Amino acid sequence: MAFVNLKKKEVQTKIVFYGPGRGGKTTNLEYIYKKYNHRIKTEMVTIKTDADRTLFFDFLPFDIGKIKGYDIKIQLYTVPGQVKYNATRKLVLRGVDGVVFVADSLAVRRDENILSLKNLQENLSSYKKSIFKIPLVLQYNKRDLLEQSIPVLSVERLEKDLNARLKAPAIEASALTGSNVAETLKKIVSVTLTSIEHTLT
Amino acid sequence: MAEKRDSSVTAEVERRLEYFFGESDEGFVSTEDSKGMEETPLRDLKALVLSIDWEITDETMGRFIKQIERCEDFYKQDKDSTLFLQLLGSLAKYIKASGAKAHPNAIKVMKSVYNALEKVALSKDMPEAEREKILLVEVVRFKELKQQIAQRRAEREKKAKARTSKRKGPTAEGQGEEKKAGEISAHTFQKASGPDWNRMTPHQAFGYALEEIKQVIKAEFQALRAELRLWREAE
Repeated sequence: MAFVNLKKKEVQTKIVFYGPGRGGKTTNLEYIYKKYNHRIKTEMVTIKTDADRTLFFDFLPFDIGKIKGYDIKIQLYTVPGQVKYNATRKLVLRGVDGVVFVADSLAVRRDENILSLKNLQENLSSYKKSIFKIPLVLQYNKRDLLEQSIPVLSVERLEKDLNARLKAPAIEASALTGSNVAETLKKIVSVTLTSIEHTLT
Repeated sequence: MAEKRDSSVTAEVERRLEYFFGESDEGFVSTEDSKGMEETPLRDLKALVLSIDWEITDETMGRFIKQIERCEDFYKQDKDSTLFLQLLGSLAKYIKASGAKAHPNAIKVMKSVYNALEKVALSKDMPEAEREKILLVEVVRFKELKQQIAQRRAEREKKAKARTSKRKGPTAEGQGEEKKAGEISAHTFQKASGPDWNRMTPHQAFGYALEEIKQVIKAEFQALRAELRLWREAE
């Protein structure tokens, strides 16, 4: 639940980038940090393993300014994608307001996408949150691989695998090139803030 | 009616996001001042101040203190900026040592001192009188914070003293341990009543406060250990 400080007229929202390992969650945050660094003005915190994988989480806080007189502070987190780090994923999900599920478009990662989404559903339910109700955006990442003749999943396949029941907004993107990264972020922030708009009015 | 109100919020959110993530930098800070900041270590210092506003970690505080040192070196010819940096340095050391237990006003004062530093350091044409006026305001804020910290510490010590004297009482066994813990606490309290804060530099005052905090923690742990030992013996 977003933290709303009525006295200071401040809203803090937590958005988590979730998905299978090596899917591009950290690359999303790194792109945002590099591209909007001069506007964000805060540091991105990353804790990585020796193999350059996210060990605990990445954290990027920023302030987007005032909406309805409230200072809107956004906290972006990623989780480690590898299956073995479920305890950390669960911990990072605590108090989450919105989720971006970063799916890997690589054909060979189809099962990992499905397992990760299922894992998200389970972890959310441990906090009594429903994947069907939480603000959620699906990002079909690595679409740039299409141009390199690497076998990728079609958008229809991804929709059928991941979004048939959720019916969440889905965006094709490439975190590596930055294509639609900002669009994804705009969408999730918009959906998340709209979900708490009753507080702002 | 409710729908109309909701859609106005959504529209405002969309507008704000379009503005924030848009390609144009119009409306964002791109003034002469910020250009000036690009060429100084203040840019990184500002990023760290904003980070600390979000979360206090040992790593961020360590980097903040190092960046202050870099700034001190950069501004060593500028007397006013150096004084601001000294204030920031004292605050940083205090916040680092206290972590989440730091006085709630410490971050506010830190941000205020930083903003004043930025104003003074980047406005080269500012008259000396105005610079001094800004500095004076921050020094007063800093002194007020020092008093608030001292007051809070005195209250805590009073409570700690009451707790220690309670522990001294009933059992004869383990009296030696109790006495030892009590002695350290008494020493700490004696020290606390001693200093003349007005005669100390901010740096000395914070160093002194830090040492005292360490002593109190040490004494508390010793008392706890003694209590645990007594409890085990009684089992």
